[in-house]
Amino acid sequence: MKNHMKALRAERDWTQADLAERVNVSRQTINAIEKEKFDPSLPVAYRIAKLFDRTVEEIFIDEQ
Amino acid sequence: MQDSKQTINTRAKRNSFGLAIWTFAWLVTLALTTFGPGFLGDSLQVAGWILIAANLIAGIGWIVAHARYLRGRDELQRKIILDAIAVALGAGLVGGFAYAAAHSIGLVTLDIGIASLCSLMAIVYLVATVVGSVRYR
Repeated sequence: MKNHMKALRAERDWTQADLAERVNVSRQTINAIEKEKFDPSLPVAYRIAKLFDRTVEEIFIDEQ
Repeated sequence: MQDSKQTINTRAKRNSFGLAIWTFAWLVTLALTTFGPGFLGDSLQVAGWILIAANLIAGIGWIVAHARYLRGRDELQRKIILDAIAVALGAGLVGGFAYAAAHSIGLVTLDIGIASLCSLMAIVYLVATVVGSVRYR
């Protein structure tokens, strides 16, 4: 699933570790989501959206 | 959505420590059960049952600690671990039954015990965990 996480994170000058700590997941998970190797669960997607003050649909793009 | 305010790293460290303690306890009681009764002489049977009970209790503790360890990981780490468990279980079943079949028709003559099967599953689990971690790196 495509997403805008990397750009949103860069706007705030956060590292992957910073974002991981805020979302309460591992840095590996943030990296895998950004590289589109792993799709987050709904609770994690909502936490990310809330953190960036966006909706889930604005961050994650379903290509199906 | 979060079961506590602990960070994922804090929880992982605490649960890893608990898992290590229970694994060690289970291994020690297993070693005592296997090798201890040989030194006990007449009191062998009673001591044997006590050691078996201690090993089962430590084993239950180890299972609970492992479940807690798994729940304490985040969703990607949990997926990597569960995938590795599935591969290890499959390898154990497929490899074990294939060997048993080969043994029963006389293709192999070497008697291999349950410890070898457990070792195979442990090695496959470790390799599958590393492969999973590299895949999502």
